[in-house]
Amino acid sequence: MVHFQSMVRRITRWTSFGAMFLLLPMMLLSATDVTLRRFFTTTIPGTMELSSYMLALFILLGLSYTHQCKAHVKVSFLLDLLPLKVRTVVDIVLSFLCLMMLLVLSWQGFIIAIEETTVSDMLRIPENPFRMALVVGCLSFSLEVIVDIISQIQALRGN
Amino acid sequence: ENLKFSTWHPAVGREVQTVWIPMMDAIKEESGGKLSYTMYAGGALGKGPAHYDIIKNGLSDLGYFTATWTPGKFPLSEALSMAMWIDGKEKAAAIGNELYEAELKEEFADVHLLELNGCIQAFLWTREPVQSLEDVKGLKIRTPGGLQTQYIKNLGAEPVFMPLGDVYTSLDTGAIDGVVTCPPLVLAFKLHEVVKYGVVATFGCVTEGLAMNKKKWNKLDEESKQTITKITTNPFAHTGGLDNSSYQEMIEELKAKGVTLHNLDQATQDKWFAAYQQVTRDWVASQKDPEKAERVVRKLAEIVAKHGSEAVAVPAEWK
Amino acid sequence: MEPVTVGVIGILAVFLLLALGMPIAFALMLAGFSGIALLSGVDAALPVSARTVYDEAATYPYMVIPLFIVMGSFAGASGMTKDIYGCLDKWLRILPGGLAVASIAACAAFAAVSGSAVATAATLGNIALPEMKKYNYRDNLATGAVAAGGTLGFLIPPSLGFVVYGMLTEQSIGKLLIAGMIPGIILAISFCATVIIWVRIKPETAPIQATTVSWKQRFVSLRGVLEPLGLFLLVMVGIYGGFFTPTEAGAVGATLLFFSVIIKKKLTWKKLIAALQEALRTSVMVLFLVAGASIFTYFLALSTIPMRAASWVTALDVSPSIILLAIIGVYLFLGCFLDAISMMVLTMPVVYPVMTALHYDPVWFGVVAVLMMQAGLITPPLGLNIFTIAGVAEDVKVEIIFRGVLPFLGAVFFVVTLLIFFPEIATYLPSKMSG
Ligand code: NA
Ligand code: NA
Repeated sequence: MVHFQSMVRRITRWTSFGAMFLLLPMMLLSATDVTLRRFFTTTIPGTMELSSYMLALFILLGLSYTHQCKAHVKVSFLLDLLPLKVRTVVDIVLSFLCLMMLLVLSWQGFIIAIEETTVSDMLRIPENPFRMALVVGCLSFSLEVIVDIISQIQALRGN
Repeated sequence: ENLKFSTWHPAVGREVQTVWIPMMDAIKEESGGKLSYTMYAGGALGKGPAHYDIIKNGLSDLGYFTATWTPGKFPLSEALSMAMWIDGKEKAAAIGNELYEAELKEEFADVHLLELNGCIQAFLWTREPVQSLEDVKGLKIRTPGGLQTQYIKNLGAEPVFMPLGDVYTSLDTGAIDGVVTCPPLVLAFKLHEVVKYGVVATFGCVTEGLAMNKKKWNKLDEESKQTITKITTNPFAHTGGLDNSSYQEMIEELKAKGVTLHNLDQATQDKWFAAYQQVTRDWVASQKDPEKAERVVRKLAEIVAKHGSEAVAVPAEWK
Repeated sequence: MEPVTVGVIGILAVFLLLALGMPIAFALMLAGFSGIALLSGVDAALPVSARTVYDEAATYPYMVIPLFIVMGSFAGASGMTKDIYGCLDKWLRILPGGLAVASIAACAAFAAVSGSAVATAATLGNIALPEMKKYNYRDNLATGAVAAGGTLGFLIPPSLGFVVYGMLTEQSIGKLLIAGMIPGIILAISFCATVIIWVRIKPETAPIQATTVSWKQRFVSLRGVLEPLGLFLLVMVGIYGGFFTPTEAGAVGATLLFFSVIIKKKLTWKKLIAALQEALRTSVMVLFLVAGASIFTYFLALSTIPMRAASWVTALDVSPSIILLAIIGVYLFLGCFLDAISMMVLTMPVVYPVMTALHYDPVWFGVVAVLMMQAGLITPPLGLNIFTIAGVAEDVKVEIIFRGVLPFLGAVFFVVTLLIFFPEIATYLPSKMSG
């Protein structure tokens, strides 16, 4: 369990680390493009499509990291009124529902990604690798949720 | 049977008011009330580029999709967005349907396609008058994407891509010099306030179509199928929305709002369209099956000519 | 089942899942997914979630979210906040409760380069609270001022509130940002006035300081506000004049601040990582939430509830202002339990069609909505900014802070009322924009 958990944490760290550094090229690319357009008669072709692709990676690969930081917002105060044991059971049920949703996202995301034939308009960069990032992001997110479920079950047993 | 109709066109827009609502009303009436509908306009069921999939998966029963917004998904159907003279969507649909029957069926195999069409010709609208190819050189022009981007490049200008919502301010401040778009969108986005000149040289436009979910289609009885087919095969002709007469009205409206439309002289026009024809050659060469692509282009030229118009982007050797 | 019935069950399901503590994005996705499956079939429901999550994540204009966040982080890293506070303190110290007034003014100034209310509160809290403690300001005034001042980050552009409102309602984000400027300044002034009145009534909350500041010191300190002010003007004038889009403005602003911190040698590796991580967390949170909301909105559209609600409300024999007040009341209530962005995401699918059916100006309503969300940041029991300040000022009880922000909540309602009677406060500037 400890081994599994640290492996999951590592996967999340790695993907998020890759994702977050994309913000710098996104920022610099758009700033340069608008400067060139305003002050020189030229633009960087495909700025928008490159930025959208980078943004997609940034967001999708950051999904599990955001969960790890408990930053996906939820309302918890009503739950605080329940006894601990009930709360844990509810947590487990909800985690399973989330896991189910994530598996639907991964499975369908995979089908859409392999069937996708769309390319970007100017640079003709295929869209499917970026759509595949949804699968990677959601699977890594699922692993995090599985870790949650295991520790919730352990907590329940401990009680 | 209630049919869900989905389009990204805004609910108050010309398309919904003059084509889609009258079309669905006609279906309702013709079927004696057996077929009713719910209108989902303004992308209520999904964004513009997702519309083909929305219909394919059955989120909506039928709807209008823009093929050009997902480059690469309908490669050969891009031919319908090539530059040709089209001054009414009823003509665009007649041409599109014929090309679909002849060459494009495979690309829409996962829906029941009701109709396929190009669109009303786009023009170049600029802040300063454009009379020659020299005037176009170096201009920053907002492109709708697709083949039009290549046309702009081959004319010696700089294509810029930005959301249509940003075009007005960008033109107003001179961030860009012009925009390639069709007359209805000039009016819809009030661009006539910031661009006073239009060049009457077609850029073509987008490829669009009306499709129905396959499962839903197969469940309908013969009579309903016939009713729908009859009305939707050329919805523009059936409703009179966005047809040639409304095109003429729009052009008059633009003129009344102070836009000067300029015709190119023959020599300039020939050079202008020669720039497009190279794009068509490159397009054919870049397709998976260039022979088939060439056949599509030849067929397109033939159909367009038959409808008394001209596909100006088709090089002479393929006409 | 009738579509409307399915829709009502879906809405109830979302509230149940929320109450049980499910992340809001998942609650919306699950309810939306199940509802679509019921109304359009499983074949339709399965792909729509995956497609929507990707499509929302790959939308170029949404890049403005991480850019607005990272702007604030770079500004914080550059030590700019200290200079801003130092300067405003020197100018405003003579007023009753001068340090608290300076804190609010500094929050407003920092809000002009940061998109996030929490970041604004946290950054200023760290600097202003120790200072006020030193001069024996009461905890309720000190923490209340910073917690309320921090909410200005949500209203004064660059503001995430307007970005999300624009995303959900397809209004021009540029116009919304511009519309928020004057109300933001008025609210900042109202907050300051609140402090002054409070201290006039209860002078013991803010002891008068003996120290005097020379005019020379004051003018020298102005250098500290030049950079944020210049940057704010560049970004806003750029958007206002159509020189660039909000996204490009965010990119330009973030790039300038990025190079500014590098030149000042203030950018450590640790600070860079922290800045990027914050931008990542917040953007993913917002976009995942918006993706969930989109899926839920497609389901609601299928249920025909928004259409029917809009036509029902317009057919009601009451004046539109009653409905507006009712909506404001609902926002006040929801604001007690939900955070600002979730509230927007949860309510807009139904509220927005109603407001447009009643012919309210969408940009004006955006400002009212953002103000109400902002109020939610400081109402009990769940007030994000209160908790942020409670984290900064560890020795102060949460109840004290909640009591401290109450007068400022009054100021928010004062501005909302002002907006209802003088809508031009919000609509004048955007109406002068082209497009
Ligand atoms: Na702000
Ligand atoms: Na609250």
